[in-house]
Parts: sequence; C-alpha cells; structure tokens
Amino acid sequence: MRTRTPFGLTGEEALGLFVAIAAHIALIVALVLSPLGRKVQPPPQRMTVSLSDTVADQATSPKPDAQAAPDLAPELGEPDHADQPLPPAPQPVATPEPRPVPKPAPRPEPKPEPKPVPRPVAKPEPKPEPKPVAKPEPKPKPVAKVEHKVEPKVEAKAASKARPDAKAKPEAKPEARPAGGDPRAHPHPAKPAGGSKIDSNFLAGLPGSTTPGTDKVSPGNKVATVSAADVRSAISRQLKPHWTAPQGADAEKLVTIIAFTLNSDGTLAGTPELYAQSGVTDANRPQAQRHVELAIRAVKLAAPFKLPADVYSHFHKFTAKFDRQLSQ
Amino acid sequence: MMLQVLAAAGAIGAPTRLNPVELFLHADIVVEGVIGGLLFASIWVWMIIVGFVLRIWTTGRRCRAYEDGFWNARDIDAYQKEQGKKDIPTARVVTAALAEWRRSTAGKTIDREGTRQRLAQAMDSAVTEEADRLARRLNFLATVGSVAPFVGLFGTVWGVMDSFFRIGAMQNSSLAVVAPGISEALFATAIGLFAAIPAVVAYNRFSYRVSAFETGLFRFADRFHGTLSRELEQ
Repeated sequence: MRTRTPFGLTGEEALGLFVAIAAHIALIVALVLSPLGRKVQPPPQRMTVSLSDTVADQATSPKPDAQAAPDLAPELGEPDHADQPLPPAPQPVATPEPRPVPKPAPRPEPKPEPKPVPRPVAKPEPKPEPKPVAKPEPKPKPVAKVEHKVEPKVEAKAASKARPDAKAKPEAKPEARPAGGDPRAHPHPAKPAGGSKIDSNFLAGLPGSTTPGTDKVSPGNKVATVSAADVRSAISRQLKPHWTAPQGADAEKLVTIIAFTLNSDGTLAGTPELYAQSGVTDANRPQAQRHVELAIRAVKLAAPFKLPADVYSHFHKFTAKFDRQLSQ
Repeated sequence: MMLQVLAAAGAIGAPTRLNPVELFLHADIVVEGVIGGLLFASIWVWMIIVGFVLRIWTTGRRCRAYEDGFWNARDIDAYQKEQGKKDIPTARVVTAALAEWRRSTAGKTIDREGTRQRLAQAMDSAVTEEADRLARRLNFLATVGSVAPFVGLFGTVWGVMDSFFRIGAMQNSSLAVVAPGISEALFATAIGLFAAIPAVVAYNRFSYRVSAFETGLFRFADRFHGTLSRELEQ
C-alpha cells in the first residue's frame, strides 16, 4: 500500500530526513564560515601621565645683537641709485597712467627742479637701454627717477654698493649719470653720487654689524628639561616616608612650609628653616611648634635628596610644604 | 572526517570566533556524546516535521478530492473500486465500512440495529487508526521537546564539572583556563534547546492538525453511517 524505506520511513519521511540533514549541515557550515566572530579589541596600553601645572622658566633675556644696526649712516647729498635699474622698470609698467604717480613723488622730494634737467639728458640715452616699456611714455620715466632719489635713503645697502658700482661702471651706470645730474656730483665722478657720512670700514667689528659677533651662547640658561613640578613632586616623594604629622585637635589644618638649601650632591647646606606656617587655630596652637619641628626633622632625615643632576646646577634653595596630604 | 575539515576551516579564520565544530571537538567525551545525541535528535525532529507537513498536505488534498467525488458518485461500489486502492484515509474508512456492510448483509436475516453498531464501530476504528498512523512519530517530538533541555543540561553540568577539575589540575583559576571548558559545556545546553524548541512548537501544532484531521474523518464517517443506515431500512 505504501512505499517503505529500509528504516521504516514513508516516502515523505525519507524526504524529510534528507532535508533535515542537509539543513543541519548547512547551518553548521554557515556558523563555521560566516564572519560571526567579532574581532577582540586589544585593551589600550597603559600610559603614565604626569600633570604639571608649572614648568620651569626658560631663559628670557633678550639677545643684544638680535637686530643688527645699519652699517652706514644716512646718506648725504644727492643719493646714488646706480644699481637700481630694476625698480624703475616695474613702475612705468605698473602705472600706465602717470597721474597718480607724480603726485606722491614730489611731496617727499623737495627738489622738483631737477625734473626738467634730466629730461633732455635722459631721453637720448635710455633708448639703447633695456627699457623699451618705459620708452613710449617719456613722462613717467623722469617721474620714476624722482622716486628713486627718495628710495636710496631708506635702503642703506643700495648706497653702500654705489661706490663699487661707480668704479666698475656696469650697464646701469649711464643711468646714474643722468640721475646725478646734480651739479655737485659732476666734479667727482669717481666718488659715489650719494655718500655715507661714515665709511663702512669704520664700523667693522662693532657689535651689530653685518659680521656676526663671537658670542655664540645666549645669556640665559635653559632649565626646560626639568619642570618645577617634577622637582617639587620628587622632593615631597622623598619627604613622605619621614614625615609624621602631630596628632591633636585641628592638627590637620596646620600647613608648614620649610625652606632649605641643598648642596650639589643633594646634602643639606645649613639647617632647614621655617618659611611660613598657616592654619594655626586656638585648638592646634600647642601642636604648631611641634609641627614645625617635625617638618624640619623630616627634611633632615630625608637628606641627601636624590634629584636630577641638572636641578642642582640651577636651584639650590628649595621649599617643601608639610600638611595633612603629605602624611597620607 | 568532515568535522576535521570544518574545524580546520574554522581555525583558518579568527581564533576568537565561536566555532561550533571546534567547541565540539574540544569538549569532554561525555559532553561530546550528549551533543551528538542531541544533534541526532534535532535531525530526527526536523525529519518528522518535514515529513508530517508533506504528508498532511498531500493527505488533506487527496481526502477532499475523494470526498467530493464520493458524495457525487452514483455508484459507491464502483467509485470505491476505482479509488479504494489509493493511499487515502477516507477511502480506507469507506473500505472498512463497506466490508462490514457486506459481511452483515450477507445472511438471510439482517439484524439492523446490530449492523448499525458494527458499522459505526468499524468506521470509528478505521478513523482512529488513520489518526494514529498520522500521529505515529509525533510522540518523538513530545519526548525531545521535554527531555532535550535536560539532556543538554546534563552535558553542561558534566562539562562544568570537568572544567573545574581542570582548574584544580592546572593550579590556575584564571578565566583563560575556565572559560573554554564552560563555553564547551554550555554548548550542550544550547544544542538541547536548539533541538527542543522546534520539537515543542511542532508537537503542539501537529497535535492540533491531527485532531482536526481526525474530526474531519469522524464527520465523514458519521455522514456515511447515516447513508448506510438509511440503506438498511429499505
């Protein structure tokens, strides 16, 4: 009547058995292969953090030769701008309209008269010069020159180089001549048109000159490697085992600050002294003196102090605060 | 063999993952036995579930088709000759009733009341036999549903005992020593619940389906009994 398999299963049950085994195997395989497992996060590494509110001062004294003084005094007479062929070039280009430029230029320069003088001299000569931009507008050129007369005063270097330039006669020299159209400059062509009051050689070797000084060390000392908080905590750490606060009413309110001096090897120099005491009330007045004595005794017992070696090269006087916190 | 392959596949991945095959292979022999038995029970439970669902679907469909044809048939004997060989519970009930009818009406005198009673009994027994046949494997579901958690718990207790014993042997009570054994032990309870939960759900559901099917058969049998009783009076 019904088809029976060897295990006494009906056809549906045989199919069911096959489905069940297949499903279980599929489930196990899925559990094994699926990325169900979460990655174990490694706990963060423990790190020590030191809280320091104070850091020892760095040397703050100013360097005397941080700002070099100019080598040369202000120029006298008509300034030379022999080595200034470059500035005039951008100016005519930058100011196609000559109107705004001439206005500021005459103001600082009290000699507007030279204008007509250089014009005839300058006109023939600039043509071979590498200034084709300036050529089309003859007006801006002289105006620009007037401006150069002002600038050399500000730039001392330009003036100092003026002398060698005059000797070597570079391509800019022809320009210098019309600029120095001043009657004074003509009799002495060898000398710079604008001269310094003091020769630059005169200043050689003085501090603040362009040659660096021999002092390579800044005047202050650096203590940046050791913070004041480090020193303080090191001292209180070493005082702690020797400090026992006196017992009594309100004794925990007493705060004694002891000042002491240390030698370079950490031993006590002299006797520790009371620097300040606070928190004295009527109740704990009998303990106040004992508090001080115990604090001094603790400092004596704790000596010699083991502090970083470079501390002693900068500090010798120390203070230590004795209070209830230290005894805990 | 396959377990080793699966364990190796799991070992390739992250070692922290919860690999059931690795847990099984690392566990104690008793725990392994418990887990294996529960796994087999789970497979068997699902075999029963799938088989029952398929059977109740086909049987219900065939019964409805048979009953429709039965009540519309002009000649029940001819219809039964055609359909009676098939694997249909209703058809078997009708076969049993017709067999009793023929036996009771074969003699010269017919005891109508006795024939009615015999017909009813024959059909009732046929219906209950069909219901029993359908529910043949459901008792296994009930057993697994109630016992599997306890079996899993037994495996867990044994595994925890074993891992505590290992703590004593290794003289080290760190969590790294205890945790793997406890994890393996708890795996037994997990498998027990994994087998029991579907078994309980399926048992409750299928008991209802079997009883519903049985009442359906009883209704049909009562109706057919009425037809046969009317037939006796003629």
